[in-house]
Amino acid sequence: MNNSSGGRGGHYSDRGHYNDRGNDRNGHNGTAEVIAVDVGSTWTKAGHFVLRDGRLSLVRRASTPTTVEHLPTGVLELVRILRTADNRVPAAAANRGSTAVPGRSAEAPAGGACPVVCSSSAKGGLSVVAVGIVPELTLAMARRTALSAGARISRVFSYELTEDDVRTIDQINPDIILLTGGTDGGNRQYVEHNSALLARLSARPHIVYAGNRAMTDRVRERLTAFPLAIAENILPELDAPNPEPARAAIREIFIRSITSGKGLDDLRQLTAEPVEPTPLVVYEFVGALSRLESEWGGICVVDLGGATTDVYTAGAQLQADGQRVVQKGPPPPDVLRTVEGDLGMRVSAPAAVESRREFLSGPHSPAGISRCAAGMSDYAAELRARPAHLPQSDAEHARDRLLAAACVTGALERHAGRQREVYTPQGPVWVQTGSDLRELRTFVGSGGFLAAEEPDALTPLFRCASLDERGRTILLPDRWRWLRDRDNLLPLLANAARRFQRAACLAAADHWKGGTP
Amino acid sequence: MRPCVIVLGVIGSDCHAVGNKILEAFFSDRGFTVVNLGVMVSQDEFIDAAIETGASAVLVSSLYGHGEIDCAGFRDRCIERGIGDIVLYVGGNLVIGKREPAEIQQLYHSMGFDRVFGPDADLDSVAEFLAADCAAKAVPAR
Ligand code: B12
Repeated sequence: MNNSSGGRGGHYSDRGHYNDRGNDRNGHNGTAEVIAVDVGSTWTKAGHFVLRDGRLSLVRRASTPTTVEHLPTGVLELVRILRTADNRVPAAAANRGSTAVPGRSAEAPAGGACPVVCSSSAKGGLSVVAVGIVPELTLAMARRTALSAGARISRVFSYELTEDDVRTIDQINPDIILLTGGTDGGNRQYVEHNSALLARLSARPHIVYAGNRAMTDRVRERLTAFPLAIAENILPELDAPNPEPARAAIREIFIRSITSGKGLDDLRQLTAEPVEPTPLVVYEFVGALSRLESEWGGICVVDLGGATTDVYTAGAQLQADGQRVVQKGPPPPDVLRTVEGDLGMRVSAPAAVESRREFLSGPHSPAGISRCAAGMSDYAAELRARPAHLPQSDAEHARDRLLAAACVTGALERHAGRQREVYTPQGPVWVQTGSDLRELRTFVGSGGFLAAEEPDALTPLFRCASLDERGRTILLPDRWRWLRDRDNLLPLLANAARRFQRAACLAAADHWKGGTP
Repeated sequence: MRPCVIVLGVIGSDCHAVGNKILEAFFSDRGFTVVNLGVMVSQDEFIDAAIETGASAVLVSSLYGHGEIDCAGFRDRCIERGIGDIVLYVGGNLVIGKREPAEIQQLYHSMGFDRVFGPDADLDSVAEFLAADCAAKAVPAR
């Protein structure tokens, strides 16, 4: 297959993803309802929402262990459960661990032929290898673009690829390679070299080329053996990032090809919208929330999982003003997603303890916490070995809290931009890289642990460093409002938002403030 | 032939922005593709930009008197980063106080700059030099 789309002005360029204006659509049959499904690596979850008074309310939810051998099985089971009026779970399904729970709002109409919207992060999600030239320029853009498309970055490569790198990529066997490098009319040498090396891969991943436009023909000629998509350059000029076309190309590949590789194509007849990567759906939702909930003054969502900590921010005043503050590197995007693969509550617990050593050995105000810090390494090793483990004692619970704090603060510190003060003879000037998040006020904690934990017990531990290891100011706020995604509705609401954007945003706002969707 | 790509910027902690804007307008007008990094640019930022844009030349400005410190080792760094053969110019108020032009030239040549200009440089002749120097080094498309 070769789904090249031409260079600049290719057909991906001007396509917005969802209805950005926030007006909501009814289902095909005129009903204002939707069943949202999120296929996670361990659990598949679904919720049936109806539109009431301009808000979505949750009628019922159901979950089942993800059916890894055939992902649609679990999805179909949940849809069947939600489309029947009562709360009965078929015996066979119950035996497998499926459950159904009524929502907080009373009357529960049957889901009938309710449209279904689904996203997936199962089977490793969407794995991308990014190739660029300068780490702070095209490679930074490639990384940012892949993350915004909902990918998991398996590896990044700057400058020239080597034979060893090619073998490494073969081992990783990613879903997609994002090949970038050079501004338009700029550097050719690295793409020339890197495309030649990629041609030697034994694996046949999708390749998205989004580098110097002048090299398009060369790349196409070199990589005929691969399913290749050509998108506009992610960095046509140094100060004019252009991530959307490459992002759209990645999304398109996920929908058209990768979902079938993961066995999700059987869902095509069932779902009203294509199956998308869950982080992409959440990314769009965070952007919509920041536009619709302007009183929040920007929003940050922290999704703390067993293996990674994802951070999404939108709507803050991200860019430097250019006067007293000089911005360096590609200007920050409107919605920023970062993923920390070494910060997580279970599989990544040992890595988290390792990379957050300094935080963990620092002072922890709530009584008793400091004592827990001592045994963290052993506890983390145990968690990695038994990822399903739940804390069995107060001491273990305290350790979980401390580990969560280490991950959240670490991920936020890395997500935020930096400023360095430069003393010039006529006064100080700040040089900024990345996003200025100091005006952000609303933080939402999501993912199993953060959803379950009372913020009051947790947030006193969230103490971020103000300076990084190079003495630069970390651009995080000094006060915030911490909301939690009780009941873990974020991925479901984000999917529901694909049909009812405004109503899903309002429901999320209510829910996080403590209301009842 | 591809238009010659040049990178401009004011090095170090120098905030003098006016001359930089003039240079950008002037060289764009003369048919160069200008990548302007503005003020307060570090050596690595110049080099990063030159690599990504495949530039033939880097024009460094220094107005505030600290050029001698900021520019030291520029060519060596280019060599280290793989663009050792790039055309390097420097201009502005390159030193503090009155010093002989020949002495200033000598100082900056020794840092690896190909040509050195004062604040009163005749930009028309700079453009001619630049076109010639870029053509001479016409590196097989970087
Ligand atoms: C305006 C100005 C400022 C403004 C700058 C505002 C801004 N954001 O741009 C402010 C008040 C902020 C300022 C601050 C300072 N300034 Co002042 N400033 C000036 C002034 C009066 C004009 C500069 C200007 O815009 N000139 C017009 C432009 C068009 O000319 P240009 O910058 O020289 O650029 C041309 C040429 O130099 C040449 N050129 C430049 N780069 C290159 C590169 C190449 C490759 C080539 C070929 C040519 C070339 O072409 C350019 C276009 O024609 C000059 C004095 C003067 N008359 O030059 C002092 C001057 C540059 N400043 C000076 C000083 C010392 C300072 C300060 C250190 C201290 C102070 N006095 O406050 C600070 C430094 C701040 C900092 N961190 O950079 C000194 C520098 C002395 C030295 N180098 O030995 C000067 C020369 C004044 C003096 N005689 O003492 N300054």
